[in-house]
Amino acid sequence: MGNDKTMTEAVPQMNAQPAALAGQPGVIMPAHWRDFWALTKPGVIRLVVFTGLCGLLAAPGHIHPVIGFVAILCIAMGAGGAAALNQYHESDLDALMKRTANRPIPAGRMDREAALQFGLALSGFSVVIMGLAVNWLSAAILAFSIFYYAVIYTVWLKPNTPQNIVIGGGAGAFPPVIGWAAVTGDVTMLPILLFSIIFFWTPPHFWALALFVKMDYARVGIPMMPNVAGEKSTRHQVFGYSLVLFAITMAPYALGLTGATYGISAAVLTGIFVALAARVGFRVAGEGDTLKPEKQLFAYSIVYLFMVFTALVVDRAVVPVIGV
Amino acid sequence: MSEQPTPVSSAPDFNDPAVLAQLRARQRSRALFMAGILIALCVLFYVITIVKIGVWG
Repeated sequence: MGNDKTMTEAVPQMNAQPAALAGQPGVIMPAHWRDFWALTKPGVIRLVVFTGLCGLLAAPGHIHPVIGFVAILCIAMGAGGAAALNQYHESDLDALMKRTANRPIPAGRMDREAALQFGLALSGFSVVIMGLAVNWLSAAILAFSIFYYAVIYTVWLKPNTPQNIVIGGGAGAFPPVIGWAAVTGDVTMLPILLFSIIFFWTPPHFWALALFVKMDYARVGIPMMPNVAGEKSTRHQVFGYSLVLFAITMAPYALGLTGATYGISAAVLTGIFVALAARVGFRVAGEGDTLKPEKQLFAYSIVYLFMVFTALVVDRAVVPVIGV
Repeated sequence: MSEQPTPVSSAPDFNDPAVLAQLRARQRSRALFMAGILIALCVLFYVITIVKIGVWG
């Protein structure tokens, strides 16, 4: 984090003579700490932390609150490290897209090497602390999820296949499994289903976004589904995945792993999701269309995931305690 | 977190006192931030150790 050009080459010490470096090409100001914070994608971390916490709370057994806090902290650090590595790799593309042009590296507020070192340090610390303080199974899953996002998704899948979101969705699906493993030390059917819920939620969630920012992706040559398979096919797939999501979301109840609180909540919430996806799936957007249904589906999909996981925790951790 | 630092797209002129002052301010900010993180890690490791040896909880 402290090894960007500005810190080591340009201004190695407080008493150095920075005037000698005036106008030197490639020398930029040290990044502000807020830029390091932005590098971790705090908005994404919120969802990751929440689903990880839900996995931890839904797991049977007991975990000391301090160790539980450490587990969630490590999940957040790991996600932040992976996000930093993602931005390190994609800084050239980010500079070309309106949505990402103001990120610290493309905006010229941070050196790329600083982002790389920050990402590696954060990722490494998160895995080691998780292993030492919690258990090595959760640390191993955390390490694999970081690798999955930073290398398999960012470097390999995203620039090469329109299925990038489908397969890459796995990266964001690990947190509840890690949270569960932190408590139990193993991985059973329910955490696998929680993984699957996020996995099958990702394509309709992201393609709803891709439908209204597709020009950005097309400009930088990233093969997002609307640009490769066409808008009509993408819309049909959004609806198709929402049906799979419905089946997966109901599976914990159908298999007797959760109670009626979750079952009813999941049915209603996913029913609304499918209805919104159907609206997106079977419409044709004309010239000048504001794409309101797509924006609504994207916005609802975020709320949806929060609510489904909240219902799961209420069902598994709250209802048995209050004896409803 | 809505406030974003001013983008710096070209090489800064360290002869300029204002740029130099900004540089020092950022170095100070980062040093304090790093110190905060290190102290937090020390406290975290201390608490984890206490919990692990079974003294607390």
